[in-house]
Amino acid sequence: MAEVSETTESESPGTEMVRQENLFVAVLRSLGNLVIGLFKGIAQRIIRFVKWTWRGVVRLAGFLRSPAKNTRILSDKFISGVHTFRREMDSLSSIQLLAIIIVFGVFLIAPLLKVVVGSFTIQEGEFVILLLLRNPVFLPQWSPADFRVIRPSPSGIVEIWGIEMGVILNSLYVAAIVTCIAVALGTFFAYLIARYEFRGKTILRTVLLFPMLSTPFVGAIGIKWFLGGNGFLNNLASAFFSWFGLTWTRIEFHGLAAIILVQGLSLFSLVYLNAYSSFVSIDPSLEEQAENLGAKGFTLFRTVTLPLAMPGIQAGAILAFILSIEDLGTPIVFSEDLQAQHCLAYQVFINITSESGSISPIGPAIGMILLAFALMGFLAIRKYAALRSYASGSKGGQWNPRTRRLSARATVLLYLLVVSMLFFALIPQMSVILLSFAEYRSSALFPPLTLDNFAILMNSDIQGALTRTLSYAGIATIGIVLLGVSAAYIISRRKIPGRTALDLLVTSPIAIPGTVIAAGYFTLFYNTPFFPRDAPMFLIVMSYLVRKFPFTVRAAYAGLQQTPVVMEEASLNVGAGRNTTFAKIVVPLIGLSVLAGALLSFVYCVSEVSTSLLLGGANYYQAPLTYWINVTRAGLPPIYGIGPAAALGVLMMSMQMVVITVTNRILKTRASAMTGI
Amino acid sequence: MVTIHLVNLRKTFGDVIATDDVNMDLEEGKLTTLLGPSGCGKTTLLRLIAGFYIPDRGRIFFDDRDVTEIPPNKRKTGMCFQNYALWPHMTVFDNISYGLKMKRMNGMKYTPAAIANRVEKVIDLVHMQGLANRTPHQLSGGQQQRVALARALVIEPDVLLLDEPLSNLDAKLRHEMREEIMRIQKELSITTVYVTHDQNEALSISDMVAVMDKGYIQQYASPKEIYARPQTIFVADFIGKCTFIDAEITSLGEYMKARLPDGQVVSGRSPLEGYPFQVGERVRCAVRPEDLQTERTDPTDNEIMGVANEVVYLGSNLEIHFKVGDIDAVSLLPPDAPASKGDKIRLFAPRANVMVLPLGGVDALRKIPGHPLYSQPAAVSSSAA
Repeated sequence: MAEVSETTESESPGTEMVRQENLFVAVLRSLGNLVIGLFKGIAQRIIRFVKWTWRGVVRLAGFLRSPAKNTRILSDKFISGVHTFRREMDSLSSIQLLAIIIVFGVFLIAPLLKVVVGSFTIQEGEFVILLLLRNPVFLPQWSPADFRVIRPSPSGIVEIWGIEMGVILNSLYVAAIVTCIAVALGTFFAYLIARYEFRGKTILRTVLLFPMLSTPFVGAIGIKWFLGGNGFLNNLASAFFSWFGLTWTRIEFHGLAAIILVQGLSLFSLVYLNAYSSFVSIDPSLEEQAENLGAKGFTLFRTVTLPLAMPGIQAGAILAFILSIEDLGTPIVFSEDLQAQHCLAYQVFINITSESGSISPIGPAIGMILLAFALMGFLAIRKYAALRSYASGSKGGQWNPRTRRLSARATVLLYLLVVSMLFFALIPQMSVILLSFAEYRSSALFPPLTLDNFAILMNSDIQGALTRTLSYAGIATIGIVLLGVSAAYIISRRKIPGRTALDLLVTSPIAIPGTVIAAGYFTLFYNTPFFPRDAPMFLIVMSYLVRKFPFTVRAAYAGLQQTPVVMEEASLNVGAGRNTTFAKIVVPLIGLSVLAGALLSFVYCVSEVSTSLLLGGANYYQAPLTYWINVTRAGLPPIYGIGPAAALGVLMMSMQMVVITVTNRILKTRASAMTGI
Repeated sequence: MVTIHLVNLRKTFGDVIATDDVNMDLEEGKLTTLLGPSGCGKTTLLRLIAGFYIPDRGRIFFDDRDVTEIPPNKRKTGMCFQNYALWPHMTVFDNISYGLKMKRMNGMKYTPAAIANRVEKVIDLVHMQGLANRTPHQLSGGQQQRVALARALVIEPDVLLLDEPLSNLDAKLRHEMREEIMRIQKELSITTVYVTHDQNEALSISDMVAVMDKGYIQQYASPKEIYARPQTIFVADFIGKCTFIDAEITSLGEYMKARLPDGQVVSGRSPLEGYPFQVGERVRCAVRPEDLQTERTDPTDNEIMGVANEVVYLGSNLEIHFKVGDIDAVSLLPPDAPASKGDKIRLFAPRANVMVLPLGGVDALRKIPGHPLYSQPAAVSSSAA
């Protein structure tokens, strides 16, 4: 009532009207509601998932109450399922399905099960996982020193640290803060790009694709230098302050605080992409109807736009949470701080790599905790992450989304805001590029530029790693395309029982931590023909294939959704068989989408970190480029060190940029939906 | 040329019954329309014939060949889809020739020259000369429709299936294409099944019409029969206009008498031969607007008194909406009839034109001996024999 009342001012206020509240109060109140709504929504998703699980348990219990009768019902269902299955599938589809199930069964499900089983093995008379929970490193100790966030150092630099609460809680609270940062930044940029027209929007859009590129790993190398006590930003601020005769207190981020910063700035693009595609796919008539009824401006945003976009934002948020928790690169870069080592992903890493020869069950046990969080997150957004959600998601291009042109003055104001926010958002990329050209150990405000760092590209080890990476990624991408198109086709066109499960199976890798998969590979395959002692090559390729699979499946599925089924039916009708139809009608029609998806899968393979580091450790002459970036980073200057590592990072980023631009050209408006979750 | 026999078909989607108890023989060379509102199951039935769905129960025969389990690509049907389904990555020529390239006869296939020849002929047939090298998006709606038709016809199918082929065209084009389809169908005299929700289209184009509702065939007869002798209340209502009056039977015979709630008695006859009416049974009487007259022509005519509440001048006619007690009624009178809003009017309905219909829709049809729906199990065995 309060919002509408301003349009009916002329009427005498009766007892049914209340005074409209102050706009400022209204904005504040609804901002509060926004935050509450976000977490409430996420909580609801998780509760819904728990209930879903509980219903499963209840149904199982119901089944066991009268097993004979229920078995009969079940077997009837099974038989009719087999009938549908046999009718729907032909030779080609059957081979496709079989291949998918074998690959995912052996290289995803089996290792994960092994991790779960491994964490329940008994050591020293107790489950390994319980042993972990008694380890003081894993639990909060509540000592006052753990809560010292600001620590002045002897050199006059103020260090900012995170709170130490033991490995498990550390990972959780870091991920939660990262999620908040990502949601704030991501939603802001998404709304801006989706709803406003202004000069330079195209440039801003391209620039915003940038954060998507580099993994936090590469960004962290740059940020550590950029924001360091004697880094560029502190030097700049110091110079700026002394200009006015003031002294700047140098600030440096350490431990978990540094991780939060790096991940927040790297992962916001996930929320951005998902929020963006939600905003543009809102039916304009829904908003116009609200306007017609008197809502406008912020009221409209709060009551209609935001609630409609909420599912996308929440899904992006949960994904940012999962990726933060599983990120291995950032803790490694900051591992000089003991605190940075106290997170789940890093613990999996050191507990596997430190054991040479035999595999300790500790790593998998920690991985199990990580997996539990990640899977819970994934299942909470399973409906949204599933391929079949694309049916509605791909509608974005069908109408012209509502956009508003900004006045010149507003554009200037906007620019001030955007430029400053963008500066922070792009720190990871900027700093890596700067670092790659900066002279080693220069303390000048603007370090002299040099190309010396790029000499690392001449290094034969690095060149070998680069060739290997490209061939690993290439082989994996070929496999991804073959299996991905098949999976998308079966899920979209074959009405077989178990389609939902297949959908979940092929999209789940997006949420399953690489460290856990690698832990599974070690425990399951080490010293077998799949994984001889010093030859991780095959498994590296397989881990790429499985982990980067969702990107191509999504693209292929989106292509299929945009191709009406009647196109295929028309072909069957005039006498073509199913296989001919697949080859002559389906493949040409979705070819471009698949190409775009394959390119994305390829770049994400190239920049894959966690399985590369873990598996590559088995033999670094078979390790891919990301492993060597880490080696380079940890090595001694001037040949190795952070400068040359940044140079490699720039190489990787430019490769990614080219691919993303090409993909964008191919897919146009669909790109955002594709690169999101 | 084939005759299509549909025997006791049923198709469900989950708990939803899309179509049930379908028993029809679609004669060779005839154009049969499946007519009904959206969701009535007509497209499901068409897709069952095409082979895109497999029925839950029942069989489909093309002549005496059982095609129920045969995949769509082996049925020799030519289907024209509602949105045409032209392949955007192929030219008109490629779209049309695709089916010919797929066709194998005893392991032989058509030579490129034969394909070109046949495509040219079918392009002539649908009047699309000179457009063979265009891609579908360079064509207008009507042209796309013709290509879709040509693509279905070029393979010389046994059966032509048309799924609302004209629904995306504007009124004028629709009329033209309707003529075109009728011309081609007569020229090739090919067994055709035509799905539409437009009753005018159905009545004007078809040899036979099957009116469908809620998954059931309500009536399967010639257009004339459908209009003059509707078998269910739904058909009477869906085809043309009707005034309905609830009543209770008081006497039987060729002309039955029925009492209205207000005590008036009307006499009429049932278009349903063989339905076992009973005294005291509740029925519904239906009268077409044009069957109401201002003059008594026979002493047995029913007399109807009412109050006009709307008079619409239609040029050739005067449409009067009036109330008989609580019932809304319509009549179509000559344009010079003296009537205006609020007038008391007095009209006469010849008893032959008052249709007495049983309540219960298709369930009523099950009680008629000889009807395809009559006592279902018996029907199955008789049709199988």
